[in-house]
Amino acid sequence: MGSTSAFSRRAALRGLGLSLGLPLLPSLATKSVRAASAETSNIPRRMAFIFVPNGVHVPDWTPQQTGFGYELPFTLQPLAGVRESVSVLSGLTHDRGRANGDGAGDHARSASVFLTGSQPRKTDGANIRSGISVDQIGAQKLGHLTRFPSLELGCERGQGAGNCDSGYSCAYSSNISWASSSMPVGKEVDPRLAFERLFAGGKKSDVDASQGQRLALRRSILDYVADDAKTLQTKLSGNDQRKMDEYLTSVREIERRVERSRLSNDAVLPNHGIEYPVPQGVPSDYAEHMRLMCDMVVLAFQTDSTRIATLMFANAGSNRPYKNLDVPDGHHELSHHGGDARKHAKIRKINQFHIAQLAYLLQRLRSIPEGDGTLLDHSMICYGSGLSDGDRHNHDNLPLLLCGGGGGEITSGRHIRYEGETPVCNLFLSMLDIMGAPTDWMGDSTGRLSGLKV
Amino acid sequence: MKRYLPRSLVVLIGLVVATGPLFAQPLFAQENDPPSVESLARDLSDGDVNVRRDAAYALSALRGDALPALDSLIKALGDKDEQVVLESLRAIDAIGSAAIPAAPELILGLDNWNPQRQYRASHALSQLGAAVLPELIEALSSNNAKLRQGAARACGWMGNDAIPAMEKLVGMLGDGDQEVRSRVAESLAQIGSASNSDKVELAVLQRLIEGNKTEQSSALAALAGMSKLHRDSAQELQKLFQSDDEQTRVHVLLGLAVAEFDDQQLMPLILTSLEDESATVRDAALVALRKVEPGIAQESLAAMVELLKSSDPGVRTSASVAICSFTGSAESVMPSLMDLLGANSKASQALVADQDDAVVRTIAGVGVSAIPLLVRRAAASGDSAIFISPIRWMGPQSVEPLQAMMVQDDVAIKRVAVHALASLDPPPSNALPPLRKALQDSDTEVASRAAAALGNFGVAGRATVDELIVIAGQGSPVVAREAIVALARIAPQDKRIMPLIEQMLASDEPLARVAAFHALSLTADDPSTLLPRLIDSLHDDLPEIRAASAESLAKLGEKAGEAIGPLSENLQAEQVEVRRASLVALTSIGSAAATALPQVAPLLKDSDSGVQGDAIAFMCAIGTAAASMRDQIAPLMNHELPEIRQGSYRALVALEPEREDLVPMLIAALDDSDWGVRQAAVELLGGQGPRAISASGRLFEMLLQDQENASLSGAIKEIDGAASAAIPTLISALNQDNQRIRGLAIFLLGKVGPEAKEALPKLNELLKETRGRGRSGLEKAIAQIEGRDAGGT
Repeated sequence: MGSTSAFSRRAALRGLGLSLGLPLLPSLATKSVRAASAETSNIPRRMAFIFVPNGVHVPDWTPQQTGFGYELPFTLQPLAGVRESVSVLSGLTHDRGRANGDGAGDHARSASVFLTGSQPRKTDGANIRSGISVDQIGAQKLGHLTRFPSLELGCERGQGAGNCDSGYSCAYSSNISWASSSMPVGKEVDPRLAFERLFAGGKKSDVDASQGQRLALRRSILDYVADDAKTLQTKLSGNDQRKMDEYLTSVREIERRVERSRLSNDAVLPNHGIEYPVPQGVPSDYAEHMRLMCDMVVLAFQTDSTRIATLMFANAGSNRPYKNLDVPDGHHELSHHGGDARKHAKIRKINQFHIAQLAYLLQRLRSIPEGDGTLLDHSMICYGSGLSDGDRHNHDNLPLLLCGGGGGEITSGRHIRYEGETPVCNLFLSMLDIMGAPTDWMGDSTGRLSGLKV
Repeated sequence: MKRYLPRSLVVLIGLVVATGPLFAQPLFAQENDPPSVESLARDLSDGDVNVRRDAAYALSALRGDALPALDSLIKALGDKDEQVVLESLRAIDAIGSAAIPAAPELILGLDNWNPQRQYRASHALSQLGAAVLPELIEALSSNNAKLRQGAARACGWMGNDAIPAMEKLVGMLGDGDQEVRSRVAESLAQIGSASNSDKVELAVLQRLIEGNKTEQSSALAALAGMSKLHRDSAQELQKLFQSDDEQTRVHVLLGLAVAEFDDQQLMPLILTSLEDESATVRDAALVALRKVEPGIAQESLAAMVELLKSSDPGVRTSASVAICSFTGSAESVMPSLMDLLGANSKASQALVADQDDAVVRTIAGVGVSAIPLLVRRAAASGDSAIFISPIRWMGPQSVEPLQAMMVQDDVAIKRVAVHALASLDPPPSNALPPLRKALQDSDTEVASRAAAALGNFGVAGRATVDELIVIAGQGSPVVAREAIVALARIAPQDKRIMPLIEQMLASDEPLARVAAFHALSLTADDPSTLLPRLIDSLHDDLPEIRAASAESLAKLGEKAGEAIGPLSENLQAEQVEVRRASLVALTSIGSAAATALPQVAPLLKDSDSGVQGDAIAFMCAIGTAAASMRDQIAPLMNHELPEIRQGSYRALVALEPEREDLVPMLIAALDDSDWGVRQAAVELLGGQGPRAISASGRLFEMLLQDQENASLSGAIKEIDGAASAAIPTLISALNQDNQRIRGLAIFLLGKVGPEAKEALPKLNELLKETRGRGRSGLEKAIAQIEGRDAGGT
């Protein structure tokens, strides 16, 4: 194995300006890493945060019972297959999402506060201010361990500036990840670009050039790194050869789906030369878009390209219709239901559709063996909204799920009800502890969240 | 607004954020020289609320270093702005014990209408340490329940430092206010848990023994919340186990779970509680069970399995969760669980599909150690589905034990094991190697199940293509049938598949031909070389083959022209699938299939709405050749199914695209109750181009309601202009925050020209505010309205 000791744990295939990240392959580990692996389980923990806009229809979200074995309410029913890995957290509050003297703009605040727990400054100018988000705190502490400190994804393009909600900058509505109080981290909504950055690392100029060549020639990333892959295969154990084959196959499958989505958009979104942006490379099928982005998270975690990810299923206040659900009305408009039962019925459908995509992500994580468990066992997926009821615009009793086992640190499959006004940031502090990135405080935290493990 | 960046950076920041710097690093340092604590303290009393807010935020970020600003922060607690108050509270909280002068103001803060302020004030008080206890104890004696509750909460958060307040708190276990009592109990539990001595526990225990009913109840809650309890407490708790009160039973269980109490004595209580009618009590039992020494708890496993027979679904669920907590060590009850599963199987076949069934989930939760027994039972019973059902939920960990079962000589076991592997959903990546191996098995059932399962991997099964090709060509017919379909799913573009399909289509076996047609419909290949055979198959006796053949012909498009005759004959078939597949194939042939119009026409009234829809699609495909059908299609605009209504509009446009009354008809369709119909009308109006200019106002109104709808904006652009009636709507859109919508309105107002002069004041106003991108569009529109620019593109 002497010849393989030169490979780092985060090895990569290279070719023509591209470098393709690889999953954890014991055959490539240095002696010290192998020794460390033998001594401890050494399986990294991961965390992801998924944001949905406009709150939920609370009666269809909250289980009636607390504790173990709660009955899944309508909205959460798609999670039946993974319910043992899902905990419902009720009662938590984002006080800094409330107006607190700033009037309207709950939707913008709901996104900016979601992972920061900080009150956004009401402005549509350059002087935006929120706070550092939990993912970025983790990224700053753990980012050196992976190829990318964090991954920020979304399914709806947003504006970086301008007024999006009652005087709040669009930067607040469109981003949940903040590297500092004044610096939102832009999300990638194009699966093609996310894919390129994740799996074809290297200098940006090289990536751009090779991407252009590849698209022109309709070639795969894998074609470019084929020689390197062939050489590497000879150095791997039988198990690792299979593992790498599976990995390369999954990369190719995603690449194919991304490419297909790009082509279909080329066909349906002609550019009319009018001066406003037309999205490119985004699947016309919203569900497929969401699932592709979930796949990016899975692949990034599986390959240990990053351990931290954020994903916005839609921007705050999104008014997207859901024609696939036979809901032609805009989501935001529907959320102002005023108690109308017909609108409730439609909101339920949208809420459940979002949860079905979460279920897809959890099933994918659960299908990947890792150590003596699965990737889901070693992950924490926090899903929810910064608004509770879209009509009431309240920021207490937020709809939040914590999924996955957190490497054995979370007793999942429960509905836990917390005292009102308990900050969501307390949950984030506990998650950072589990990640091995403890911090004394963040946002409006007052301490750790009790009861995640019994 | 002292520290704002220049406004000119707005666009730059916007670009950075909007263009998505994936994995971005901060680009801007907002401030060069941080202001001093003293200047921040001064800013807290500035007349500008934004300055005060900025100062409060900056001071709270300084944590303990904000101490010199304490006086100003205390004063700021009376600010009229909520953010200044909340952030000052947070700053005082972060200063910690040195902020003791803030105590009186913080105590006042406990009596606030705002629950968040109460919460924050309590927490800030808890950070002041023991020095604040005299004030807190005084507050505990207040007549104001909010003060008592807030002070009790602060004591709880203070933990061991609050021991001097213990006596007062214990005395409040009988407080007249229920919320205060509950808070006091929780705080005593927190103090007791944090304390190294047993003082708190003993004081509470005494109240449990000597107090009145109300005090006993609160004392019990306090004891149950402590992280550890002595034997004396346990004995008292045990006495209350038979209580009629649900909360009492909950507290007893939770208390006993952390007490120095014999697990052997606790287990019967837990078992009894798992049967309790109250879900809360059952949940407390589940928590208690996790504290019991595993070896002792395991002895009660059989009793828990009995609970799975309960008629109460809640009890069954609790029992299931309880048993699942023994993952990997519940082998002893596995035979009983199997018996239960077998019994349920006989009682109800629906169980297999019921993923929430307690028994199935229990076995799945117990873990992969159940697999050998499940597989053997399945092999012995001949009913593999029911015994395999728990394995479906076990995920990738089940692969290894299943693989071990597959190497056994017993073919029945092998068959079940491969069936179980095939049932894993989604298929885990580690299942690929054993399935690949099973493909070579001499038993055709094992090999065919493996082949079918490999198809579920899709592209991820690429590594198996070579083997599947060999099997599809030379394997036994049963296995080859599954292999050809799997190949088409895994590698639809592989050129080696088509010859194999051809070979199988020539088979005498109807099932082989059905599989071949199925594979053909999945491949990416052009099946034109098979045209004679496909046409021939349209006369097959088996309707499945006729339908599959028509499906494959649909892939050929106009090259399938020779099939028009036999396809038309199949339009009369009894089976809906055959009629529909034939219609789809004819539609794909296009205008050449117009000769089939007489056979298709009656299908507009078919009893199956799917056939009706396909018939309409056919009319769309042959376009003007179906013009004579207008009167038959027009009534379908009122059909109850939106899909049919939508199709009829599309067909009417395709039949007579130049007809004068199309635009009014489509404008009327914009008011249809169904979104899909309205969307179709939008697209069709866009297709009319400038002829549909009268629809522009209505379309823009819809766009204002549905701003992300690309079809609406696309149609408006295709129409490329607006009627004068649209002017008010377009002017109202100039006030939109959405720049895209505003830009489109500006563009269209320009296209209207001088008639839109009433828009000029607003456009000129916008021009003054606009820099850079967007300005040229405004200038152009103004010039067009003023008659200085003829427009154009």
